[in-house]
Amino acid sequence: MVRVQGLGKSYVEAGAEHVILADVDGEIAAGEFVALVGRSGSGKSTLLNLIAGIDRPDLGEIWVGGSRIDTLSERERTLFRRARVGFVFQFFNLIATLTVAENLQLPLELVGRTRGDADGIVAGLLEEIGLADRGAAFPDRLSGGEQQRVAIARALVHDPDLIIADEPTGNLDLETGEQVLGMLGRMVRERGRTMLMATHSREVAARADRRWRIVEGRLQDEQG
Amino acid sequence: MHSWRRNLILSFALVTTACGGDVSIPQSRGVAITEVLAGDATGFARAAGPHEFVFPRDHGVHSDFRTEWWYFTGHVQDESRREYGFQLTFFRSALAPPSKLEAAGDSAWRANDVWMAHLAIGDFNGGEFVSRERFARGALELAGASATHLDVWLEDWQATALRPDDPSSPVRLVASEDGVALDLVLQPLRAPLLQGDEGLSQKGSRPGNASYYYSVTRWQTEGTLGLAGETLAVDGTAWLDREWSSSALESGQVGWDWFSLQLDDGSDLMLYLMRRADGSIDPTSSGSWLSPSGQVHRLDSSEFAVLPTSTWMSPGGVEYPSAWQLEVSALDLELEVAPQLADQELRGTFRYWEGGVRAVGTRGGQPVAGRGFVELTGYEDRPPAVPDR
Amino acid sequence: MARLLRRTGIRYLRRHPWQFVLAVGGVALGVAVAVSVALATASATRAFVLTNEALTGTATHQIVAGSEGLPDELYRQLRVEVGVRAAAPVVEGFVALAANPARSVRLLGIDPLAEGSIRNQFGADPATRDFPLGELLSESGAVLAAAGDERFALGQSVPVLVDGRQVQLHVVGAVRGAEDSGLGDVLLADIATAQEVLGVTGRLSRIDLRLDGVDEDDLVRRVQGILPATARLVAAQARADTTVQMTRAFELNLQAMSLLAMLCGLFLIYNTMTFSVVQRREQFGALRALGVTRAEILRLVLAEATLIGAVGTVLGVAGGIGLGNGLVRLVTRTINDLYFVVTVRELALPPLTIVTGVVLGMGGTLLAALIPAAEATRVSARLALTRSVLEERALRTSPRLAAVGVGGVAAGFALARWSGGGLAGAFAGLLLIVLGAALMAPVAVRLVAVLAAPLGRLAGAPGLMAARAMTAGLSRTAVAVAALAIAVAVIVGVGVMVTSFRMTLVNWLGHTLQADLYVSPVSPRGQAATLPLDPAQLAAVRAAPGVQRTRSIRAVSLETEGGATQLLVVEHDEPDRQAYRLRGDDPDIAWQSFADGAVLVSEPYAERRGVAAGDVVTLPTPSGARVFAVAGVFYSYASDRGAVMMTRGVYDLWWDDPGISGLSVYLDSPESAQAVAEFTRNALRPALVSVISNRELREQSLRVFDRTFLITGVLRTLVTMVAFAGVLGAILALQLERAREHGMLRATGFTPAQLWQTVLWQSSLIGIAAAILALPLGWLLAWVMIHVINKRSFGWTLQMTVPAEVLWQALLVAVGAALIAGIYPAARIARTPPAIVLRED
Repeated sequence: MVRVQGLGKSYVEAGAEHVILADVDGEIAAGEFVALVGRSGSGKSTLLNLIAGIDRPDLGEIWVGGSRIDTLSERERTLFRRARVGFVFQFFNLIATLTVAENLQLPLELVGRTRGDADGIVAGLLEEIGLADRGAAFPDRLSGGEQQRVAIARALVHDPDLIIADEPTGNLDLETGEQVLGMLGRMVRERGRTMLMATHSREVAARADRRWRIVEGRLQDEQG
Repeated sequence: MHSWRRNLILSFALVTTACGGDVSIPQSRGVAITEVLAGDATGFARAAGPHEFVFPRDHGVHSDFRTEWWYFTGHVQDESRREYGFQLTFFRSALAPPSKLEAAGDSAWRANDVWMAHLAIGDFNGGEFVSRERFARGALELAGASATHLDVWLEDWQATALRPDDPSSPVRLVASEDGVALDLVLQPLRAPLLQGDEGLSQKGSRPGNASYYYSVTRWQTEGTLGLAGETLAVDGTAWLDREWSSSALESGQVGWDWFSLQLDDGSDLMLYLMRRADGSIDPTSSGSWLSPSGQVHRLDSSEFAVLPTSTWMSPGGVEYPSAWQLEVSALDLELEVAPQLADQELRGTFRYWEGGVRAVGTRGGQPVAGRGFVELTGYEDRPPAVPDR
Repeated sequence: MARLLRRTGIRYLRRHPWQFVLAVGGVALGVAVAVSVALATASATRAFVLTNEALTGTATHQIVAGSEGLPDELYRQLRVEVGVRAAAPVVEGFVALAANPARSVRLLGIDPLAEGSIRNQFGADPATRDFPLGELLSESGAVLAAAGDERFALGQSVPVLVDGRQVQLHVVGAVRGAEDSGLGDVLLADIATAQEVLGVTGRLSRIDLRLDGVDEDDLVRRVQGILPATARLVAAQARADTTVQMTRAFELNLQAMSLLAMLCGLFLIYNTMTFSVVQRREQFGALRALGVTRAEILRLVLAEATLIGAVGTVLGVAGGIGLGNGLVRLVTRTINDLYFVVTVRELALPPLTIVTGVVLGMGGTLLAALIPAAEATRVSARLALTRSVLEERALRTSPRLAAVGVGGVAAGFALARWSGGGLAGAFAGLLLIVLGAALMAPVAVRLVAVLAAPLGRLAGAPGLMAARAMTAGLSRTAVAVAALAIAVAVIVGVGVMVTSFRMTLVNWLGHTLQADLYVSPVSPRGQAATLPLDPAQLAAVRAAPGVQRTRSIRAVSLETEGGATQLLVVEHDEPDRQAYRLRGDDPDIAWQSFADGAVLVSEPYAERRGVAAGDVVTLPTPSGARVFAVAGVFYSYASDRGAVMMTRGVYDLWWDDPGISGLSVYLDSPESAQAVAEFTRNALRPALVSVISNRELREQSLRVFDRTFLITGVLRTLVTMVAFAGVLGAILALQLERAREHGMLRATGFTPAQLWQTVLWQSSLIGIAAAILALPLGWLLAWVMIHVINKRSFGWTLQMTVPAEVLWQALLVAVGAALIAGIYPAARIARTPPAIVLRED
């Protein structure tokens, strides 16, 4: 599903070049759940950005779902992302001015799914995450856990190939985090989708099929 | 009797009192001839009694009367014997009695008289009739007339006696505008004919409703006409009508028909019929016949009859009579009169028909023929009758 | 665009109504001011054109002469000798109502019999039955008035004043529909009546002709052949154009000022959009992560701007029409005071002006929103965003910006001064200067931050926070500073300009008005007047007790190539040298030359026609055109048309006109002023004259000046309002942005009072930064306005005075406005308990 080869990324600040990633190789098979671990500032986010097509690598190739994305233009990558990737952020990042239901509808609209069709899917998802009666509420009325659940639903609503999660439980208490994580994992597996999750929690990483560890810009593939 | 012409002037002078002064958005032009608005003749001289006619003095202007005109008409032909008719008229209308004017002001533009002039030429062979109209005020020498002899002008149109002191002086007519022109010298062939009662022509039943009126019925005419870019040398005969008065017409009169004919037996005939609203002819209608030897026969309304035998519709929708049978029983005169051209209507500020005609008939059993002019006024639909004054 | 995307935008606006309202308000006010000025000036121009068209009719040419007019005889020659058929004589002038001498009405004398060929718009066909031809022609004083004019009701006898005489007019008819054809304030009379009422018997004001068709050239030639030396044959349209041109400069100045208001409004938009973009940065980031393209983000932001622009423009146009109704009165009054008589009955609404207002409003909004919109697209979807990158970039670019700004200011200044640029170039230069100064705002902010560093010691923690916060939020602070600075600069600039103008005028009046009393005929405005007095009366006044001596002046209008020129004829003697200041270094030589028969020209004349000492001018005299040497240029602020001055001796040589227009009286002692005035009024009976003192004349002139600049004052206030709204919005945005920080401050122990102080300190720092920028900018603006724009518009040299009050006031306004604008944000900030703030994302 995902393949990176020889990735390199660096940035310039105050005249000096800092290397974030160097010669990163890795593969994720379809349906796998890979945890991305590493200290803060190790380059996890950067790698996620690259795989999501948000950034472009300085060196190397990136393949997602059989398509090579590092050579695409910014617009093409955005459109690619729209259709094929789903996100779960640490800070939920729901659109505050849209209701819960509308938040779920947004990705569907972006891929051009018609209204009637979309309504059914949204309703079903709301049911699945246990918030069927909260569809008309605005995100700021929901608790953290509830918001993240909506975020999960949003990440899955348009049936993307790849789910990318960035510390999804980082902003939740232990108990809620567990719940959310469980829900996320279950829903992804049920759909047979691939997930790449960045986390600094060992417990979370333990749940993954595999682990990618970033140490000083290099990738170490760990099993178990 | 040419009270119709007086009405013409009165209408266009339009003196109103202050209570009626609302000026409206312009309507169609063309004022009904017989519409005389409340004109006040106070301050003006009236034609109430006999007048001693002296010439050339009476060819000149009579400023103490309200209206006055010099009316030249004539028939001429060019070198190829094509026939034409012409008309040159100068009308004067006073706005206020002379005494009032002195009180007004010292501007050189102060004028008591408003002048109007008409020029018309009919090409009888070609079937064309054209007319022109002008206005001017009697100030700054823009228009005016001499008080001592025949010299009347409006800007560069004029009728001038060439020998001012001579009562039978030849007269030069000059007028041109926009493609129509005439320059003629007229030589009088007869002495002035005093119309009505020694020149006092009664218009209505009331005394004072009259004018002073004379005609010079024949002039030898020579000169040029300008028409459609061409200048033609012409000669022929002309007729002059002169009239001045101050008072209004009578109520119930709607228009008139006037005939002037020069017959080949050397006689001249003038008839005028005042038409009333009810269709009848006013009894003050009258006429004159000047015999070849110069005798004057006055004709009152019972002594002649005019019967229209045909009509013509003008482009403006006005129906005029277009041929007549004339009978003057007192003279044993019968004539068939027909226009030289159907459309000789003048369509300016005033709408009237004035054109050359041919006459054929008998007098005392002898065949006689001639030419002349006919004037028809007041034929527009339902003009309001003259209010009684 | 996806429906939901649009919804996010609309909902955002709805949740922050104050932003929306302020932004809309800014656009609306800006558009309203621009539209109102455009409408007011368009209405005045249209009213003039309409009246002029009605008065000119179908005439293609006009024969005109100076104030002397044409002889009657000329008309007769035209009609009879040259044979022009379409010719109409006109005698035109103004009469003042005896009941209210300040109001004047145009009296138009025509020949109804000649009118048909030229004018038909009077709705009065002399040949129709209702036209009171007889009364109009035969009664003296008979006039037709507009139907519905209560001052001239049908049948009434109305007394009027002309040249010190009282005349009775009788209204004998009413013209319906007069107002619609521009003849609302016109009395129609027969030409003879007009001549008598106006006292110009024997003369015509002009003759209107229609010369067209195949013979046009021939006719023109023949007409020119019979013209007297002082008359000219001009094309009717050209004449109208020249007159309208007179107000061009004045109107342009007004419009430029109104566009400034628009500019401030646009700053508001920029501000608001930027703030909304910044606030939603995370949201945009999330959207981008979800796969919303850059183009879609751009469209989203622009759509919001379009909505603001649309609502604001609609309100602005409506407001502009309302404002225009009030403004048109002011504009018309000024035009009447300074240029020509025009009456505006209602506001004209030319579609083009409205459309232009809409285009300006919408276009300006979109333009102003472009940068924030572009910034929004640059928000990356990166999952961890750092604000500091943005601010760092702002910090980095601020020196570069400032450099560009300085360049802009320099370029603008050069452009303004470039003589080939004309007025347009000057205004463009001004704009460049303003924009350039705006670019220097970030540097000004940093400067103030540096200067304010010791604030920590003075004001404690709040002060320190305030100082740091200046640079921390540089991108936003700079915009607030720029907006406020521009507004204050405008206040300073216009204030200095008006003060300088007034000062110059006061000085000029001081040395020009040397006499104690001024005698002139009571005559309507807009009229060249003649004092009706005979030599005996003049001698009586001269010999009156208390009178040291008198001097007369004659003012006439001459018809020259470039239009009407005013000619001033003075009795030349010593005091002139003090009364009139000459340009250049050698006034004595110039005065000598003047005494020898040369002429002096006023400064506006010299500027307009490019004439200086040593050149010549050609003036039409009754005996033909004559060349006069120019001795020098004198400063005069009486009018911007310019005048030529010559001695009485020279005038009497070439013109046969013994009249005088006014008399200056010098007294032995000022106490006898009252008595002498009384004496003079009696001596000149039955004429009605006005005898006013030096002081009264001065006050009158200044009143006209103040009236004229009332408009400027009004506009300045409006500009200030717009700017204030901008600053309020900016500071509000700034503070609310840092809501989280403030919440944390509260959580860590800041009292509400301390928060108040922080906000207010920051606001005042913004005010100070704005003032630092505004004062020199304002000075520069004033300089350009005085030395370039005013000079090019009107030709006057003004002494630039920068009164200290203006500077202090500006400082006060800047800091005050900022402080006031900070009150509401401070109150809001201080009230929110810490917990809520922290809970927000």
